Amino acid sequence: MNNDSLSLLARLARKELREILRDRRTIVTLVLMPLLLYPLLGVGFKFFLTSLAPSANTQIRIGVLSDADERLLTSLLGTPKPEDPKLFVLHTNNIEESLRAGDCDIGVELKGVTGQVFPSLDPRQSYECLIERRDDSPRGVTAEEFVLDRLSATNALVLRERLQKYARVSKAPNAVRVELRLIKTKEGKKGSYLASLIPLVLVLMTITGAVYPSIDLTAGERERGTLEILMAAPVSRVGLLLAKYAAVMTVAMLTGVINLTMMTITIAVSGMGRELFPEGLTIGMVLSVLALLLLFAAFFSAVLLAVTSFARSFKEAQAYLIPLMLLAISPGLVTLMPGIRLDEPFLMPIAPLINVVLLAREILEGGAPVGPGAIVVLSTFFYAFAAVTIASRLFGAEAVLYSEQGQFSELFRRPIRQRAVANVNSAVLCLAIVFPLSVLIGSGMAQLPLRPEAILLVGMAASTALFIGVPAIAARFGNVSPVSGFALRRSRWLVLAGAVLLGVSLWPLVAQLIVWQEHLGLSTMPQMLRDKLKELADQRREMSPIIALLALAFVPAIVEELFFRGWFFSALERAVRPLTAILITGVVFGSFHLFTGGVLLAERVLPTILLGIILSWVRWRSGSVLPGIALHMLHNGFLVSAALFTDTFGDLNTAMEGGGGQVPLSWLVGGTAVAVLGAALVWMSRPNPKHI
Amino acid sequence: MLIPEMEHPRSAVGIIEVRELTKRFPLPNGKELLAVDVVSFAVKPGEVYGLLGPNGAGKTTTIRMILGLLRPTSGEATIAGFSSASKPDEVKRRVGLVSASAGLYQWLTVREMLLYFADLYGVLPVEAIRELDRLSRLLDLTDLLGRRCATLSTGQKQRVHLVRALIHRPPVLLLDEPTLGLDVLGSQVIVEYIGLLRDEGKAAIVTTHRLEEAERLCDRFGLMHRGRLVREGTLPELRADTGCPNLAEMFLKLVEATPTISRTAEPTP
Repeated sequence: MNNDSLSLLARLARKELREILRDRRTIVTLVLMPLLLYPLLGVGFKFFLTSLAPSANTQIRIGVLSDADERLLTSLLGTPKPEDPKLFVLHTNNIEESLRAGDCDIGVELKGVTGQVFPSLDPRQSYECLIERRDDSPRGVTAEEFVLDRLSATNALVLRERLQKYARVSKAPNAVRVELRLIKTKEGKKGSYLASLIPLVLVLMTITGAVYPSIDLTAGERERGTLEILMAAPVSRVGLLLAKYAAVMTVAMLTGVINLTMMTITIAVSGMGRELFPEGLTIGMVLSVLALLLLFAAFFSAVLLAVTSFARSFKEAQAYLIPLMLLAISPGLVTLMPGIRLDEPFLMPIAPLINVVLLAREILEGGAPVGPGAIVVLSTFFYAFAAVTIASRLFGAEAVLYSEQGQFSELFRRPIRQRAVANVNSAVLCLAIVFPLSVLIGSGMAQLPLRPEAILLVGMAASTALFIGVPAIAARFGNVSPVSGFALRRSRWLVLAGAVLLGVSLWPLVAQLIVWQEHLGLSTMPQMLRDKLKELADQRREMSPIIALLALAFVPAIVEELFFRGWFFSALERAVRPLTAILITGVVFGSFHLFTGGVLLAERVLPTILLGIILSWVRWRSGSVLPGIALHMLHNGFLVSAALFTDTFGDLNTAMEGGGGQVPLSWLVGGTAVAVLGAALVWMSRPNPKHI
Repeated sequence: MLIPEMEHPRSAVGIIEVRELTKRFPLPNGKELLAVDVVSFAVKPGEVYGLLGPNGAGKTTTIRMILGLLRPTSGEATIAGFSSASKPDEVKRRVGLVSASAGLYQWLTVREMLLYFADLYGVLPVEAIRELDRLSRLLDLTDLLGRRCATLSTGQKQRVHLVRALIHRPPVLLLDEPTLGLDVLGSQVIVEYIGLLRDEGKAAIVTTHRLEEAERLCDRFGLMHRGRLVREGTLPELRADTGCPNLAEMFLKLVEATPTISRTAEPTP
């Protein structure tokens, strides 16, 4: 997209925004709703929290270690007042255990108590007091507040007494010095389950902000009769839709920002932060949630536009949106169930909407796992892309424009004329389908109760079905010739030879790159996974090397090439400049290789992106997918062999597994020389003529 | 981008050419509706062509196919040599469309809406403002430019639509019932202005049910009935052909000559 079309897009989007923002209904959802909602929600939460916690009529259960402690504590707490909660003192041998079991709300240990029975408080004495509570108990918080309140009253009282009686301040002016200790619960940093509601409310409110504009700008155009004159203008439907998308997204993001701000203010003002979130609400958390909300706004605006573009009137759009909203809310409620976390069950990071709510919750609870977090971001991004693609196909389509005449079946009718390559829309759609499923296969296979060989073979079959099956179905529906659609053409011998040379020479360089990253500390591989991978590698060394090579090296190379360099690149090549197509394909290829068993491996990003770029470049120079397949198979083959045949490739493998050591220098030099020769051969061949 | 008038010298060949245009719509019962049935005609620059016929004759479908808004089942339409099927943007650039069903953006002002469309047609801002100025003076819209579109009357709206269709100075106008719902005065303004446009050398296709208005406005007529172009010619030619003094009678004769099913089913009183 060049500057001219970008500035046109900006002008078109400005008109859409102007139209939306002048409408009072937008302002209501944008500003008034959050202004009212969060204070109300705050009052509700507060009410809920206090009803959970002890109040005038409820009780506080305090765990103590001994009779002496109990007496002393009673005198430290002073005379009970009628509005006080009922105190129950529980004798226990182990305060922490009682707290975990939920037998008491807080535990109090007093030091400086030496077994003798104190009839009452000795004003000359100072005591040390350790208060313990669970980090996830609202009752504990209230109990703690009550006890602290009383202790400081006692301190003030004793201080006054001492000043009067002795006319001098003792060394320790306070009768009680308090120390607090939080008992880490099994659920870790999980906060009050009320806190789960907050991301859900934020997400749903962001949706609300986008609903009206998206109906207004799509179905509304049709209803007002402006769609036809818009379609009569020489401007692309995609351009118009992107402008509308930008406008709806802006409003959705504004709604998200306003809602988050109101929520933050409500929590700050009401002081509920510590009760809701174990670590309170920090600026960092708010900003992370904001970024996530913006991503979500981008995703859901696209979904809404895809649905409303299908509608021909406001009424129809609303009829479509009601089930969509129910569909959005019900999985949202799933996130409120206890035990649902981002990393388990393994479907969660790719489940649209649920994943965003869960990730936001984990952020608010004080930290999110990086791997699943990245899967959430990437899959949401791909979903947004796919939804925009669908929307741009529907918006202004004949069937929508002239409902009385056109038929929706025409939208899905197979084109009569065969196409050489897929259009970008359908290629992106394939990407959006394949990405989450490939993550799913990656993390799901490991959990199958099968022998290692069987797991490898099932995984191989599944990824073949995915990478070949999805574009094959798209080719069938879009009437795309499989031969040209997957770039299955003969390649020139020169390029093929160059690719083979690259295939045998790049891997020591990639290995060295991984070693360097390891040295620089870029590795994100947790030790657990490192051990698991090592165990996996050991298993693989024991199985048939043919199966291992087939499943780990050759078949993935073939199916990935057909998908990325065949189907995706061929479609992209028609739409953007070659360099852009090469870079995009490289990055997309890299993003597919980010995860192993659902864990983010940052060290794999750079090597796979670079490899992806080289493969795409070879694909562009040759016009065929075959040299890339050869390159990729050889490259994978050598790297997998290095892991399998430790006798031959011993040093290299330990180096790559982070065990120290280097790739032998002779291999690096040889590899570089051969790679340069290979690249030169590919370069020398004439550039790809357009095969049409 | 403005299309210089010189690009389309007046020629014997039509700037609008319609060749064997056919459109079939699939019906829910599995049958097809033949909306336009092998229609061919041409319109020269400086000519106003009246496409007339009863409701459901296929006039609007024909216009939509000429502009490339609907895909023809077969046949083709060209504007200045560009096919609406293969070069839709070239066609759209050269055509201004006024249609009775078109609406306005109610939250935009008249000026904002018109400049937005100028932008869609790639008119440079300076030229768009100049053209907007000229057209709004001609059509008496100057005082309305700052008003929100929602507040306009039907006649005012239709004049806004006319300016919208002309702001990119297209050589071809497609006017689908431009006077629908307008009072005598309102339609008078539109009709007069179309006359002016003809003098500027623009080609226009007009559909209307106001036959006496069509008689005054159009140079040539095509009479459509049930998807087919049944008669074509100037008013004198049609008179000679049909033996009827005016379009209204030709119309009645046309409808009776090919009676509808319900007419034959009912006994005539």
